[in-house]
Amino acid sequence: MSVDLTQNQWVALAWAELLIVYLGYFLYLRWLERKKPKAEGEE
Amino acid sequence: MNEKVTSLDQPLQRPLWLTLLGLACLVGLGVGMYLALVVSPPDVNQGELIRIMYAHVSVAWICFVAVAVAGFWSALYLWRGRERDDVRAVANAEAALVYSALTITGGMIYSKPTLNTYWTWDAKLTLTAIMVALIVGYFVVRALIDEPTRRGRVSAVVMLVVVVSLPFNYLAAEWFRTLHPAKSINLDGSGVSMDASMLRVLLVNVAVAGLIYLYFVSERVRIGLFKLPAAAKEAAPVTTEVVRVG
Repeated sequence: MSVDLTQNQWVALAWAELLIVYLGYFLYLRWLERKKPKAEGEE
Repeated sequence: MNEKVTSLDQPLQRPLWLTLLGLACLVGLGVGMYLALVVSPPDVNQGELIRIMYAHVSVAWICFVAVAVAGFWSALYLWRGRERDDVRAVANAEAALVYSALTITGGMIYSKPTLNTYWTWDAKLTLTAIMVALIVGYFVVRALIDEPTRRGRVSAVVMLVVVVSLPFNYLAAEWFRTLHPAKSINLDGSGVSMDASMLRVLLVNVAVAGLIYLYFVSERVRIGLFKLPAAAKEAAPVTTEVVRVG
C-alpha cells in the first residue's frame, strides 16, 4: 500500500493510534465493570 | 435456606487514590504529548518523525515490564495456587497485550516513513510478533478451558514461555542483523547515544506510559478481585464449599 503523508501527518497518526488504543482499553474496563456475572448454570 | 452473600451484591467502589491516579494519567499524557510534539527539537536525520519515537519507545518498554510482571504473578500462581495471583496475572497480561499491540502498530507507523517499509521478517520484529501471538494464545487458552484451576495453570505456563522470549527480543537488535535500530540507551551502563533534550522528553513519556499501565492494571485487578468470590466458588479445588452467610 502506498501512502503519501507528510512527516507531521505520520506523527499525528502515531499519536492518534496511541490515544485510541488507550481510550479503547479504558472503555473495555468500564464495560467489564458493569457487566453482570453469569448466573449459576448459565452457559 | 441461607442467603448467599458475596461482594457482587454490593456496588463496586472505586477508591479515591485510583481516581486520582486516573487524573494524574490524563495530566501526564497531556504533558508528555506537549513535550514530544512541541518542546522536543526535530532530529537532524529524521526531522519531525522523531516525535513518533517518544510514543513508540515508551510503550515498548512498558510492554516488556507488563510481560515480566505477568510472568511473576503467573509463577506465583503456579507455586501458591491462589486465585488472586491469577487475577493479577490476567490484569498484567491484558496490559501486555495492549502495549505489545501499540508497540507493533506504532513501530509500523514509525518504520514506513523512516525505513520505507511497514514490516520485515527479521529477528527483532519476528520475535516481537511471536510475543504478541503468544500473549493472544494466553487468552485463547483461557477461553478454551472452563475449569478455573486448570485454566489458570495452563495459561500461567504460556505466560512463562512469553517471559523466556523477553531477553532474546531485547537483545535481538544487537545479536542479529535487523532493520530495527540498535538501542540508544544501554542498561549495562555503557552509555546513552541520544541528545539530553530528547532523552528528557523520552523519559517523561516512559514515566507517563508507566503511570497509565499502573492505572489500567490497578483497575483490572480491582474489577477482577471484586468478581472473584463467585468465580472462585465454582473453581474451589477442595471438597468443601465455603460460603459466606450474611
